[in-house]
Amino acid sequence: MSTGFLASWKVRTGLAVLTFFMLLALLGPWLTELLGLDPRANDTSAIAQPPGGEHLLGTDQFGQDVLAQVVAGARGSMYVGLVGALVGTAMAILVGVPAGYYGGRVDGALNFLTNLFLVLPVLPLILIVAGYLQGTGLTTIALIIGFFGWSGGARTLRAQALSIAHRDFVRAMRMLGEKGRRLVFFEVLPHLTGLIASMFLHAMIGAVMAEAGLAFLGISDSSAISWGTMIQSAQQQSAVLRGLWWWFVPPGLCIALIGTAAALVNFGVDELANPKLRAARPVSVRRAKRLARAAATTGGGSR
Amino acid sequence: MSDLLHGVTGEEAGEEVSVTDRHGAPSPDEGYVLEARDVSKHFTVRGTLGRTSVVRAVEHATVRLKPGRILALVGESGSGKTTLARMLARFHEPTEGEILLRGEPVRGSRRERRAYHSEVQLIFQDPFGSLNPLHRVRYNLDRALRLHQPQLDRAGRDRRITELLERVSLTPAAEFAAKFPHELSGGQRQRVVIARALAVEPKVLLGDEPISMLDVSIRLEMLNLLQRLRAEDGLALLYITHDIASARYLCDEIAVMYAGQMVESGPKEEVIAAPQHPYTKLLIESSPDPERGVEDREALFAGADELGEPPSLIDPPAGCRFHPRCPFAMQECREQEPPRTELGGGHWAKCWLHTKGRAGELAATTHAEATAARRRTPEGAS
Repeated sequence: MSTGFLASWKVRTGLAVLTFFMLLALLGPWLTELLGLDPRANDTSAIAQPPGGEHLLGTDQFGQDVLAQVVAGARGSMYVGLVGALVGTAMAILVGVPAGYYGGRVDGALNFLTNLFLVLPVLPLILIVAGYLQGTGLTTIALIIGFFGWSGGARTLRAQALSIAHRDFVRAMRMLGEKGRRLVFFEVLPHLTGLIASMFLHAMIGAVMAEAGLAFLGISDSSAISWGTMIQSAQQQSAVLRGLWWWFVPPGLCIALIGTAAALVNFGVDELANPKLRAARPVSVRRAKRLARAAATTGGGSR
Repeated sequence: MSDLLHGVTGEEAGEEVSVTDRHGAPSPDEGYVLEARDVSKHFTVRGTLGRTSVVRAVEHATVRLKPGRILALVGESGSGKTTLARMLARFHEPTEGEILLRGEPVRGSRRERRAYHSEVQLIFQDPFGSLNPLHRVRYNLDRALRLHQPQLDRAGRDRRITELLERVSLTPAAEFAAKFPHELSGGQRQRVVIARALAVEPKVLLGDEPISMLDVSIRLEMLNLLQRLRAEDGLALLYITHDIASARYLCDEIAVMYAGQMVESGPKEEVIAAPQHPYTKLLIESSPDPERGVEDREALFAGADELGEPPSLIDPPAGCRFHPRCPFAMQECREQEPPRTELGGGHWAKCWLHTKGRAGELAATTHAEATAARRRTPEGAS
C-alpha cells in the first residue's frame, strides 16, 4: 500500500517539495551562516539592489539580504504552519470523533460548539484576540490560528465517525466488552486516518497563509522573520510601485509552492482512500491500448 | 380503533403468560439459560412534519434456550427475528417484558452488561461487516481474551488463540492469526467471528442468519461447526433463519414468527411434518425441495400466483395478523387475536382453526390449493 502511495508522481513531487522546505526550516540558521549571510544585517552599501553579485536574490530597502530572509522566514512560516495545523487537527479530532461516536447529548453539546465556531467571523476575531494578547510571538499566532480553525474539520470527522460507529464491527467489539474510549481510538479512529492526514495538510496550508495574511495586516511580532513579515514590509515600502519584485516574489512563491505541494500529497491520500481515483497502472494502460488497436484493425478489415 | 385493539391483545397475551406460569413452565429449575419472557419492542419513527408512528417490530414473543439445545427462529424478512435477537444481545432494551439469564432478570448497568455478554454472544449476519478491516485476526481474539480472561498472560493467550482457531478449523492457526479480514473468504471470516465469540466462553450463542451471506457450498460446514459446538460444549443456540431446510438440519425446536408475533412452536419434526398454523404451512411448502419435480411444483402453486406479502408493522391487521393472506380465514380471524392452543409435547399454535375444530383441514390440502379454492368461492369457507 505504501509503495502504491509513493508510486504516484504527484505524491513524490509534493513530498519532495515539503521535505525541501522542512529541511530549509530546520537547517536554515546553519545554512545562512555557511553562506556568510545574516538576515538581520543591514548592508548600507547595497540598498534595494536587484539579484546578482554579492546578494544572490538582491537586497531590500533596508539593505537586508533577501535570500537570507527567505531562508530564515521558512523557519517562521513552517513553524506556524505545523503548530497551527497540529492544534487545529487535534481539536477537530477531539471534538468531532466523540460527537459522532457517542451521539445523543454529547453530540448535542459538541455539535453546538462546532457550529458556534463555524459561524464565528474568524478573521476579525483573530484581529481582536491578537490585539488583546499583547506581544504576539509566532507561537501565539500559531495557537490562535489553530484554535479558530478546527470547526470545519470537526464537522467532517463527526459525520464519518457517525457512520462508522453504527457498523457491525464496532457493535461486535462493544458486545465483547470494549470500553468507549478504546472503541473510539482503536476501532473508529483508524478508519479516519486518511481523512485526518489530508485535513492536516490542508490545515498546514491554511495556517501558513493565515500567518502571512495576519503579518500582512500588521499582526505579528515585528522582530520575527517569516514570509508574511517580508511581504508586509515590502508592501509598506511600496515595493510593487517601485518595481522591487525580488523583494516580495520569493516569499510569495515559497507560500504558493508549499500550498501546491500539500495539495499534491492530498491527491495521493485521496487516491488511497478512494480506489476509483487511482491512476491506471502502466501495464493495464498498455494492454487496453493494444486491445483498442486490435479492435480497430479487425473492424477496418471487415469493412 | 387500532390502539384499542392493541390494548386488548396486550391483555390477552398477559393472561396467556400467567396461564403458562400457573402450569409452572418458566422456572430456573427447568434449566433455561436464557429466556425472553413476553418481550415486545416498539420503535418510534418520526415522519415528515413531526408526525410520529410506532413500528411494532416484536410483540409478546417468548423465547427459551436450554444448554445443548438449538432453537430455530424462522420467519420471512421483516417478521422481527433480528429485532428479537438484538434484544437478546442487549442492543435494544425491550419495550415490554423482560429478559432472564438463569432465571434472573437482567439490568442495564455497565458492569451487568459486561457480565451478561460474557455468557451471551451474538454472531452477526454479515461476516464482511463484523470484523474491523484494519485489525488482524489475532487482534480480535486477543482483545476478547484480554477482556474476559484477564488471568491469562501473553503466552497463555497465544495458546488459547491457537486452540480457538483450530476449534473452528482454521489451520494452520499461526498463519490465519496473522491475516487481515480482507485476506479471508466469507466462510473463514464467519469462523473468525465465531472464534471471537467463543473466546469469551459464552453459554449462549445467538446466530442472526449466520449462514445467509455465505456461499451455498460452505453453508453445510458452518452448520456442522455449530452442531459440534452444541454437542461438545453444551452451548445453547438460537439459530435465526428464513431457510427452513437449514433449520431442519440443525435445530431441535422450531419457533415461527410472523409480523412480529410467534405463531407456532414445537419440536422440529412435528412442526415440519404437520404444521399447525397456515403460515408455517406456507413457509414449508414454499421452501425449495429438490425431490419435488417441476410438474409437482407447477401443480403445487397452480392458481396461486400471488401468495401475498407480510403486513405493515406500523398498522398491522386486526385480529390474526395472517388473516389477509390466509385461505382458511374466518370471521373470528378478522376480529380477535387467536388464542394459544397446546397440542402436546411442547407443540403449540395460535390459530382459530384449532378452537373451531377445523384443524384437520390444514393437513388435507396445500396452501396454494386452498388459496385457489378460496378464490373460486369467495368467502365460501366462512
